[in-house]
Amino acid sequence: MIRRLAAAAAFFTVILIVAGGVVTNTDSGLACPDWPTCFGSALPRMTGNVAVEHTHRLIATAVGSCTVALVVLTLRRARQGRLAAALAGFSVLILGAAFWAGRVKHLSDQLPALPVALVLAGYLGCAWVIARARETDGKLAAAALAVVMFQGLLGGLTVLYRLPTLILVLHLGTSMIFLALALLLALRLNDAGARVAGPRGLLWATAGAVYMQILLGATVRHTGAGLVCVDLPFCRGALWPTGVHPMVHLHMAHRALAFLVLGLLCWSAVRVARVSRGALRALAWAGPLLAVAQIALGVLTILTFKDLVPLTAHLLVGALLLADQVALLALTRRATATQEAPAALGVAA
Amino acid sequence: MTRSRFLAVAAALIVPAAAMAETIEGEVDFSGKPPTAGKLHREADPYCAKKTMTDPTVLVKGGKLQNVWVHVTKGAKEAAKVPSSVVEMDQKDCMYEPRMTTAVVGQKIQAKNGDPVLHNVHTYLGSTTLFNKGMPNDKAAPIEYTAKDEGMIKWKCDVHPWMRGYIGVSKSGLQAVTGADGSFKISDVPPGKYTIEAWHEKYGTKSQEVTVEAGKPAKVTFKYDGTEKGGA
Repeated sequence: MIRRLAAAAAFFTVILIVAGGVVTNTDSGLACPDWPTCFGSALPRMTGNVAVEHTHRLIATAVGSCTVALVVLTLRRARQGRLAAALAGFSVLILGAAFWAGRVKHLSDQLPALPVALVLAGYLGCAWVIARARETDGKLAAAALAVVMFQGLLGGLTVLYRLPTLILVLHLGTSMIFLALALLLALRLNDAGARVAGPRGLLWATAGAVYMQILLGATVRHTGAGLVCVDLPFCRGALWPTGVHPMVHLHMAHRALAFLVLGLLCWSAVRVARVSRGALRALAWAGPLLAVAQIALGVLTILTFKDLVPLTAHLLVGALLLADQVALLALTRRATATQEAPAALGVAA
Repeated sequence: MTRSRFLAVAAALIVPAAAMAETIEGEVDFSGKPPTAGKLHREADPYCAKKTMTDPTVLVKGGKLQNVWVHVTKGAKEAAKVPSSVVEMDQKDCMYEPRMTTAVVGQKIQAKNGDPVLHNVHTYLGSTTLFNKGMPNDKAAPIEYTAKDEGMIKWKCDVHPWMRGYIGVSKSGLQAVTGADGSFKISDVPPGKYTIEAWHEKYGTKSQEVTVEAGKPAKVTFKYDGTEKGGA
């Protein structure tokens, strides 16, 4: 049940990320001027940009609800029902204080100190719960709840502060961390003995590079650097032009990192494929294939002047790439000294 | 009936009808402290960087708000005839020119590029893209589009993210955009009761009822104070 619920949370998170992309790519981020309500209502008239923005909020609420259920189930399984109740209390404190702050900010343009302090207190409580949780699953689920709430607060800040770049980038970055946590919860519950010894260091480095590339892509997207170079495969007539604005370098860094990530993904795929078969091997090879598709979508994004479909698909494939690497991490274990030698020789462990 | 008699009868029928068409005049007040127009960061494109420009989102002069689309939303009939003139939206010095204008459903809209650099014209009606086409330079053929639905068409250039333009489209054609003095004038309005709406790209919409009587212009004043949220 917990595993299925975590898988559902991960699935809906991918949908949520795509919906968030549609919000950005249709300029719907400020369609609802207030937060958490939209024009003072929990169910506003769903038309145009309002429908796009509010659908994103409703999916986020579904993901949040899924995560609450996940925490309750994991902590109850560990016979820590009281800890679940405490976490529920801290969550109510965080969300209640955040909604209060959001309302005041919307009406007076001032962010009140007291609810902000209460949000921080709520997060200290969450940290306490994570520390007290007995099982790793409980810790992961509690952390996921803290992250998904933080994600919601960042969403609120994007509206209340009218789309500041840093918050927008953090908003996407946090959603990817939540996706990773939900996937870990969904896949970690497998029998530990069934995991394959794999190149964990390389997998961590690859997942980290994919995550950095996602953050870089979000920065490109939200600073408007996506089309500063349109003369593919070059940029203003050079492989990497000099004496240009930092936004051009930002764009080029995103392009360059794409190839570094592709290289890491190929290397990881080869290493994992040597020691695995079946679904794990398929996951390993999915990485480079997704990366190639992602590069093609990046090119298409430029050629179509950021058309909605390739631009949103670019975000989706980025999320799937990270999910793929997290899945590989969840399904592998550190190789022991005796297992590393045959793996290095290309022999399946 | 002689020709002169026919003309006299026709004039007797037409002139009162024309005389019945009144105007809705007014202005848009802004009572709050207008935000300081920040410098637009156009440095990423060497051509655009040649000219320094400030953000034209909120233009207030003497307490009057410019670039507010004022249009009749209820009570008006569809325009009897679609204007044959073409509404032009130019791209000059990496800005849309004009910032805001109007069109009638069925009227032709034309996008031009007056700059020697690439712009892409990405237009939205609500969350829907109407068209998204590139115009490589000032030699590019104009893009033509016929307004199909009423609403605010937002114009964006994704190459130069600061570029924004707006064309308010209505079925009735009873609409105007406030000038630098915050005033507007909607002509050829038959007497009747109307709902009239003001829309600003940052401060959103305000509406009010207005009754137009024969023989005198109706006066309408919209008031913004800068705390409103909404818009594009």
